[in-house]
Amino acid sequence: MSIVATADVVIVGSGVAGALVADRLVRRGVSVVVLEAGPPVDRDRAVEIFRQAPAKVPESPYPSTAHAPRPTVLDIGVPGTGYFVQEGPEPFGSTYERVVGGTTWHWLGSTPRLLPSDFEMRTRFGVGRDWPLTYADLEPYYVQAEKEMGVAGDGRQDQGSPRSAGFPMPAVPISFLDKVVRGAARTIGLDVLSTPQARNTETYNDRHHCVGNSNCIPICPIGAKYDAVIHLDRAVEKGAKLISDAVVREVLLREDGTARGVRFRRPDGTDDEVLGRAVVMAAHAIETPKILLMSNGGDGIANSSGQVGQNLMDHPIALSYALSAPDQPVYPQRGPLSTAGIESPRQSPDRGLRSAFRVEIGNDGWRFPIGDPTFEFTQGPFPALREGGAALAARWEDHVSHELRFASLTEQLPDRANTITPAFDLLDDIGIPRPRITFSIDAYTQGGLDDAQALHERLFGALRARERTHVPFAFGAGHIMGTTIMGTDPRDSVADGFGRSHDVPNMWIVGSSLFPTCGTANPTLTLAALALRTEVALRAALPSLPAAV
Amino acid sequence: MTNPRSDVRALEAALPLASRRELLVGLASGTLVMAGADLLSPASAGAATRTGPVTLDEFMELSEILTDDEFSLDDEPGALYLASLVRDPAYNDPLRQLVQDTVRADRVPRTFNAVVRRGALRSEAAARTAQQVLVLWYSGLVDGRTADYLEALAWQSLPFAEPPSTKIGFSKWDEAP
Repeated sequence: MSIVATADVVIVGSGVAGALVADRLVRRGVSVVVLEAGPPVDRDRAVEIFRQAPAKVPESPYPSTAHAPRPTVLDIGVPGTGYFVQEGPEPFGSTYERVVGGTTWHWLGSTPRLLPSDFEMRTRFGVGRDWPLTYADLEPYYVQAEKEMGVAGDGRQDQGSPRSAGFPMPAVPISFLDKVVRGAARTIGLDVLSTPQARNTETYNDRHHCVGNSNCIPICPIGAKYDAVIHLDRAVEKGAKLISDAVVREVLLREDGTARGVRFRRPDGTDDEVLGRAVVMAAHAIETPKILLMSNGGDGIANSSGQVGQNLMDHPIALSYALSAPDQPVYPQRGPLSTAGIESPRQSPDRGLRSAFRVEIGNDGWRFPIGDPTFEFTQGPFPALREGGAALAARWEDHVSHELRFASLTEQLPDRANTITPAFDLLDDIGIPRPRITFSIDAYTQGGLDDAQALHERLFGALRARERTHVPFAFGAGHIMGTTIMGTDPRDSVADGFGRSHDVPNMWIVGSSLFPTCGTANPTLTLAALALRTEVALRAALPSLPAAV
Repeated sequence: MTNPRSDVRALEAALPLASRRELLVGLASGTLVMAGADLLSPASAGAATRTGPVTLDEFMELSEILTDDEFSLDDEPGALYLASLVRDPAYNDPLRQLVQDTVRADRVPRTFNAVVRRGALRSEAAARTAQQVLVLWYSGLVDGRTADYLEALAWQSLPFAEPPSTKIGFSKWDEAP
């Protein structure tokens, strides 16, 4: 074992949070080492792997290596399979990538902001927790994050989140399908709004504008959608050191309780160390708490509250799909996978009793509930016996051109019983504990799921939709949150409002694991804004931190 | 391990279309040596066309008929589909009979409806086999693997869409196509 690098700041994880912090720090003269458990990804190669994959799931283009395994949606709900050790009572349905650039490779790209009320759930509604910062505190960093990531949006629309600046780019055009849904929604008192998204509508930061390849998940073939490699590459150009295939297994502490660096394991099973004046944990909401709990000989660190790994949250999804009216094809499978949504249920006055939700309108036909059309064809009533030729092609075209789906993201409250802990008895191929997860969806969230499907049904009615299906269980949204929550009271939270550990003064946490509550907005923009805010605080604190030795 | 496909590339290029298709079948089914020996014998190839196992030429012609010749079907996935069907006892004999009743018939039907009118799908086995041929071409999936994603008819038959992951995209998506 040897010390392979020393830097001012050691960042664990190369997803959007780690990449933004690395980029900001290195541009201001701070030396940085970024460690990533998985390998780098070549976009063209990943696109080819996607095409070859029989199941076009979000993880399909990316490697699951022996040293950095990761969950896939194909494992969810299949006991005894996959990377997660699922203890139930319900399966945890969200996944992430362990590659350079993290899960921004396969994210959708939607970037709504949280609402001001999302920061004050306890005060306003008597449930959940208040954040240790307000919407107003974060708003300037939302503006910065939108600029860094390249967000396109319609500033004329009121999304419920006050803005001090316009969007960096004009909105992504809403789809024809969105317009059909909007026409129907307005007949029942609802409106369809353009969804802000980190997707270029013009050349931005030397990246091409979106041409609607309809493959944001699992991979944008042209890089029009933001991913963290953009900031990682920029950071490396400015001098940051990136070490891939380096699986961090513990944060090293000095006797005084400060962090002195991290220890990581290579694919061959050997261990090395990187030292720094500060450590930033940016390994998402499963691996970050797992590493903290594996540290200190398995006794854990930064855990005087006992809440590291607790309060695991998602945005459980109510999913419904149908065919539009026979005389109203909607022509999905064109454009980004989602370009609009129904946002008013996010501001439900009943948030003290039942989860709010936002309705995401899909442009991807039935790919979410059923699968890629190539797979759907093998599952559905195609072809009927003794059906073929042009008649079959016409019936298939007619079917797909009418496919609708709605996915509503509900809010899950922090619950200490929803946990991720290291499974010290179930190790991966290089001897590192796999994540053990306990998870359930409570009545609060179930109420929101029920309300969402009732709304979907009203929409289907207004659309005169056929073959309506409301999936009777919740899907994971891929939004993993809340396992190292921030708060003002060290007895009841892991980090302060800037992501600084209450217990380890030179360790910061970035990412959605900080969220005390999760609102109903897709989390990436918020975690990016928080990371930018953390970077400022960290840089201000650096002069007072001990040297890296 | 050498790639048999690259090993025979020169031979493949030198062969006429029908023989090239036989070569693809051999590769797909793992019987390259035996098939290759037959390939070089025009007499044996001719005999197979009338009474022997279904050739790739015949399978491609059958596929074109079952799809009403609306698509440009590619030999390479076709060879994989044929090999899969031949390996499956549920489809092997019915496929041969289906070819016998269509492609090898005196007056070859040119459309799916003509195949039906001819009575070639009257038996359950023949109808199931034709159905499976279409499922293979539309899905591009065979034996749990992807034979051809971008050319799968589930995408190619949608004039308003493109298979995802191409870099072509759309000039706009906010209006009906």
